[in-house]
Amino acid sequence: MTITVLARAQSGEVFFTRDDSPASGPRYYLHRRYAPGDPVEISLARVEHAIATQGYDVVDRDFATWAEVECFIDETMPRITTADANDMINPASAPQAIGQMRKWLADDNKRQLITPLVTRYLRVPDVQADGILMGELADLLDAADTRHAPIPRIAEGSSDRVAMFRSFFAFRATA
Amino acid sequence: MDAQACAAANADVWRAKADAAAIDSGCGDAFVSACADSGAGTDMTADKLQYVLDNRNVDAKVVMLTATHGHDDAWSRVYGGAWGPRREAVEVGVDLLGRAVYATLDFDEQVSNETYGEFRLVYGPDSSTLVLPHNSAQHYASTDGVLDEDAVCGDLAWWSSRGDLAVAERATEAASVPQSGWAHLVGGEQDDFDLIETISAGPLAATAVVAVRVRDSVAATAVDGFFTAQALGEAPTVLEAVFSTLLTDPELGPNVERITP
Repeated sequence: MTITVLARAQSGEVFFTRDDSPASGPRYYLHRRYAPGDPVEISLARVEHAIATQGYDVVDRDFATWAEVECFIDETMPRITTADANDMINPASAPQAIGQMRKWLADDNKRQLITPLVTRYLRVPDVQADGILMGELADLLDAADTRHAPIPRIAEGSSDRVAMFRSFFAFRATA
Repeated sequence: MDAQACAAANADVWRAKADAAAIDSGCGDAFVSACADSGAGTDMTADKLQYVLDNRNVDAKVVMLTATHGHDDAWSRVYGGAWGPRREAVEVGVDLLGRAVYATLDFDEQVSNETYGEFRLVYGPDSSTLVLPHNSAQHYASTDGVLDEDAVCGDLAWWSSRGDLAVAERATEAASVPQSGWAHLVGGEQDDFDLIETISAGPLAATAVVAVRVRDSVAATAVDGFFTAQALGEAPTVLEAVFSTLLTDPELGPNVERITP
């Protein structure tokens, strides 16, 4: 069995493969990393057209299994640096983050990610200055109820919790 | 060839063809109106969207590729290979070599065709945008890069004639497909790679972008991946990071449309 990764978008969300194993002849596939479902079989002409007109990076590397293909794509997916990602922790993205974390509450595997992400937001001064955001983040910490939460629950009143978070992070900043 | 003069001369011709096609086909007023109101849309990958966000404009593919691959590699990718000479011939013919921003006509809710990236940018081009009834490089230029200027000049339309051109070209087929199929019929790439094509002079300001469409399933995966990476202290992929940046962009963020096909 030989699978060839023919080409890919620089950002990695789309790539093309050729599977030489079928007895009836090679088959060509479009893979979309962010879309649900199996790869889509397409014609060689469409693969060639896409490469020729979109400036995709030609890869032309052979692999023995689909698992190896997946591993190769995973390892070579371009990523932005962690430092840049840290810069993207900003108040503007907090509403999206909160929405996402609420979805994680129903997922036992993702639930444990809530505390670290909330904590990162809580360290941003502009977030600390926003009482509504602080209240929502505090509610999430409560709902996540993880063993790692270092902060005692306060029975009621998000304003109390906001004050507590502010003092907590002020303490951390000077510790 | 003076492309603008050709388009000007063809305005009445496209109007007459459209009127005849609408009557003969029985496509209906709704199709005629949809074509007249169409925008211009182009599919792109996350790396190119990153360019748009960083540079605040939509530019020719070769310009965007130059930013990541350098001048020589970018020009080789766009104007080399089997397709390049045809593209170059068209762009020289309309005096937009290295500046042409291609798109297709766009109907509301139209999403990317999946092959050219997950994002579809829709913009309101200026009045100098040209429209052709075919994939220009494929239809008007030979493989060795010779342009049929007479054919191009005879087909060129102004942006203001796009509705007439679309009706003239697609009314017959539109009459036999459901309304949900019109977007692909008018704005999509057909099985033989043909399409109704718009050509604008780049760069187009980011403020001209009226919509950035992405499938909801893709958006959900990207958002999840971005914040998961953040929680783990890891670097997100380019698409995840770009999508997150896009959502919080003061100009483009409000124009993001998450489409459920």
